[in-house]
Parts: sequence; C-alpha cells; structure tokens
Amino acid sequence: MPSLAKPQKPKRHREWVPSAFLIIHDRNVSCTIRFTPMHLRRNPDARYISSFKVYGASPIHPVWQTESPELPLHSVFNVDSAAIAREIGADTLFHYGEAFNWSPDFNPPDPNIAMPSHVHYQSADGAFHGHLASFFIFGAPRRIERGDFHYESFPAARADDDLYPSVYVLNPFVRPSGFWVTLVTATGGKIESERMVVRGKGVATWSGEKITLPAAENPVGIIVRSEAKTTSFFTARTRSGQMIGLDHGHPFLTQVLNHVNPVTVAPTGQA
Amino acid sequence: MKQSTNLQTSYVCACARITEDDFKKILAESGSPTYAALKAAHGIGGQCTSCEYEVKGLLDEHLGERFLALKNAPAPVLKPPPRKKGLAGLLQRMRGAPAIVVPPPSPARPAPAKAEPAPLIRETYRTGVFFIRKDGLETHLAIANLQFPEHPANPNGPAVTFHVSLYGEDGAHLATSREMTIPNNTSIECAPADLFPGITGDVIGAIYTDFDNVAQTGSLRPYGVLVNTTSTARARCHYHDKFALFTDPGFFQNTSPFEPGQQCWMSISNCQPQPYESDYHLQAAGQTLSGHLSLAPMASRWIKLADLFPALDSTRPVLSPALFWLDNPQHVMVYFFWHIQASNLWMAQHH
Repeated sequence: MPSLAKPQKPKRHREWVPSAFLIIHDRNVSCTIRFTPMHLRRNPDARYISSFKVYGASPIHPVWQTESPELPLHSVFNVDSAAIAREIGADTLFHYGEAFNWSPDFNPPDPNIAMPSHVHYQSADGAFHGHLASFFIFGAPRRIERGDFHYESFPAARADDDLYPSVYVLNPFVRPSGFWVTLVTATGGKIESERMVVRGKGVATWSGEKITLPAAENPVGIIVRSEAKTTSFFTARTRSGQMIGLDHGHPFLTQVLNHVNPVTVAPTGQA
Repeated sequence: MKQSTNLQTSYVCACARITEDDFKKILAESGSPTYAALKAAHGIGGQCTSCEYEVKGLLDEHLGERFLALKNAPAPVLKPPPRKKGLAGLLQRMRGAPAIVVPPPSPARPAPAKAEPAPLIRETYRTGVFFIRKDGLETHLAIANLQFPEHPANPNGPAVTFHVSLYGEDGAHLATSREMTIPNNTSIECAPADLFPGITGDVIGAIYTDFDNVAQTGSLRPYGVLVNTTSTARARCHYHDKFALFTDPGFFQNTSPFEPGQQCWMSISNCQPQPYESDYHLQAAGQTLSGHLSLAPMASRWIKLADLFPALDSTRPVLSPALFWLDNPQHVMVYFFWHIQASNLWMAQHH
C-alpha cells in the first residue's frame, strides 16, 4: 500500500563550515580579517576557534595559514594583511582566503552553520575601501534558483561619465570556473562580457571602466553567471580611481523571503 | 596524502575522476546519499579531500531539490482495498469505511494526464532599509527586477508594483509613496524626491518597501544607496534590506568601530511594533565601556560611535582592534558607515 506519510525534510547533520573572502594588500591598500564569535552565537561557556588560510597558485596547499587559540565569546581574533605579506615574502596580495570559524563544544544548532569573519579594507589613496563579511560557500537556508549555471545579481550600478562598476568573483572550490558578467541596462538592453575564468580557490575581477552609458540607460543591473557556485561582490568607482561603494550581491531566490518567522535562540549552554 | 593530478579540469573530484555529470548521475541513483556513503562507495572526497566543500554543497542542493520534488508531487491515487465478502465483508461495512477515502471519479473534472506545476502563490514581500537625508547625504532606493536568465518569463509577470513607507526618527509614519512600477528586466534608483515629494528637509528614519503580489523574491531584494548630494565626501554605498521580525542568534556587533583615520557611524532602525531597549558596549584598549539606548517602535537613530563613549579618546590608534556590540537580540536594522577622513569617502555595511 502506498505510504500516506508526508515527505520529511532530510535530516542533515549540521557541522561548521568555512566561508570565503578576498585578501588584498599593496603599498596603498591593506585589510584586516577579524572574527568574533558574537556575530552569530551567544554561548558564553563555549570555546571558539578561528583558522584562516590564504591560497596562491595551488588550490590544495595554502600559502599561509594561522589558527587562533581557544577564544571566549567576547573576543576578536585579528589578522593583518601586512603580516601575511611579510610572512609570505610578497609585496602585493590579491588572494583567495578562507575562514573556518568553529566551536569544539557544540555543533551548529540552527541553519547558521558558517560563522563568518569580517574583512575591513582601507587604502591611503582611496582606491579600495569597504567592510564585508566573508561569504557563505554553502549552507545558507535559502531557496536559490539555478539552472545550467549559477547566478548572482546586484541592483542599480552606474556606468556613466562619473562612475563605473567592477566585480570581484571568488571561487571557493578546487576546480576552475568560467564566468560572465552581464549589465542589464535601464531599458532592458544587455551587455555581456566574454567568458573569463576564475581558478580554483582563486579570485578574478572584471572592470566596467571602458563602458559609458547615456543617462537613459542608467542605472544598470549586474548579473554574474558562473559554471561553479562562485560568489561575487561589486564596487562603485569614480573615473578618478576612488572606490566609493563596495557590497555583495544576492543569488536569485525562488521563494518570497519571509523574515517574519521567529528563530529560536537556544538557551545558554547550547548555542 | 595523495595529491590530485589533474586540478585544472572540470572534475568535481579529480582524484576519483568524477565529473559533475557523473556526480549528478550518482546522486540520482542513490537512495539517501550522504558524504560518507559517497566516499565509501565511489571514493569521492576520499583522498586529497580538497573537493569536500563542493561535494557537500552539491549534495545539500540535491537533497533540497529532492525534498521539494517530493513535496510538490501530486498525491498518489490510492486504490480502495478489495471489498471483502461474507461475514468479514459485513463486519467491515458495519465498522465503516477504512481510513483511506478515494473520491469517485468526476466526469466534469477528469484528472490531467500529466502533472501540472502548482500555481504560484503570490504574496506581499516586505523589506526595509535605513534612510537618511542630512549633512549633504541621502538614501536612494535601488531595485533590480531581473528575469532569471534561464527562464522563459519572469514568474512575477511583466512588471512588479510596490510602494514605500517612510518612518521618521521618532517612529512616526511620515509618508507613503504612490504605487510604483518596475518593468521586467529593468533597474531603478529612486531619490527621496521621487518617492516622497511632500517631504522636505532633513530626515533620519527608515523606508519599508512592500512589493505587491510577488511570486518570488528573484532579484528584487532592495538596497539603500548612500549618495552624497551637497557634501564633498563622495559616497555611493549600497546596503541591503534588513527587515525582519525574528530574534537574532548572535549580537549586533562591529569589529572595526575605531580604525585610525576613520569615523564610524551606526544607523539603527527599529522595524518592530515594540520598543527596543539595549545596553551597548565597547571593548577597546583593555577597558570596557557601556551605555544604554532606547528606540520607540519604528524609530531610528544615526549615531557617531564616538559620541556614545565621551570618556574615550577615539583618536588613539591603539583602540584598534576594538569590539562594539548591542546586547538585545530583538531584531533591529543595524548598519555601520565609515567616513574615511584622508580620502573624504564613505563606506557602508550591515552588521
């Protein structure tokens, strides 16, 4: 007899997972990567550990890594890009980084299985500024639209006489991924880049510096299409080279986001 | 540890030579795949382990899609149990019908030969961001209504309509925009004058965008954009919707509240119909300073962090790294904005 049981959501063993970020450093630009367990947890009795890895040519072997001591809840684990550059022996860094923040005392009690770090970018000449959380590699509790490719979008960028957008694509996986950047103009026209490749555990960038659109075609939506599930962030730059905006995009969501339902905060000792 | 020998290929697992198509086939043929089972049966992720995150991500995605397919599948047509004869049949008829009730076939509505997709449920999608018009800065509203590139049409139809409500610093409702329309495959950027022509002067508050009858969020999640109007400090800082009524699992926090050469501001908007009361704290240079803030329902504040801690010499470089946080996990919309003094620029981010 056929079962009448309602299909059950697959029970998943929740475990801590890493998140990804861009590390950039040169004479003008530096960044700090910081982790506090307070971002997503409230358990004062647990121990927390943060490890950062930076990848270079090999997607398997990091060129630099560090691990925090056991951290209490009210703590910040800080890494400066200058220290990484010095220890690697490089003048410049434009590398993929991975933050694995976890607790040996409990598994994730809710869908927040990644505890991100925050990267604070600053520059002497205004070329690179911003503050971003590290990006989810997988595990976000969202229903994401996908087809043959993966997509992320970003609204209302400007490509005019004053400003242009640029895109940074992070590939958290080992294999390389092709990607394309499409500008959808205010009148629905599309400008698509050629196929570019971001290598495994790597970062690639696309610049719209050569694109200038008339006022009627601005603002533009940006779509990043990629073969693997990469993640992207977007900048607003002035034609004189200053960065005056930096933020991440979102995947297309098949659900109507409902931020009304309560999330139960587990009592002290559990999460 | 064996090294994978063919990293720059399209293999999901280079060690086991599993392509993405192979992997999808394996998942489709597996009853209840787990990472451990895939490792044991196919060697996936079993050697150099560097594909672990992608394999787990693909597996997670597959299990989610499998669950949705099951959930959306039409209910099985159940045959009634065979009618028993004799005494057993009489007893069954006396006890009543079994739990399974099969409706009689209706000639007026024959069952479709092929399962049709479930009709899309359309609902209002509420979002919110902090709003400012002050000191030569103002918030614009940015929305992209982009069709998913592999879909023949936008599930939200040829256009999406929305309206925007503005609440002020004290939580009072100041204005609601006219009904706005954004056609498929376009982006818009609305200045306060476009949305609320009757509102003039300085405003600190929050704007709530309600999309009417949408079938999915798609690309619609709106962003505020902090732009400079009369200020010489350049800004075009996107910061996205943070509306929610839930309780946050962590703290509203900032690990870069006092960086050398930067002034950090916090915007906080209470998007809930009850007051928000919280202690706030700063841990810096070996000391912890605290205070208390209150926000009426729907009220907002725009605060320079240094002003919360008058006892602190915020120009001391040793303040970094510092940690700022709010105790109360009741969800409020918190963003941080930094003015970089040397280059006279702004940057922004949600908590």
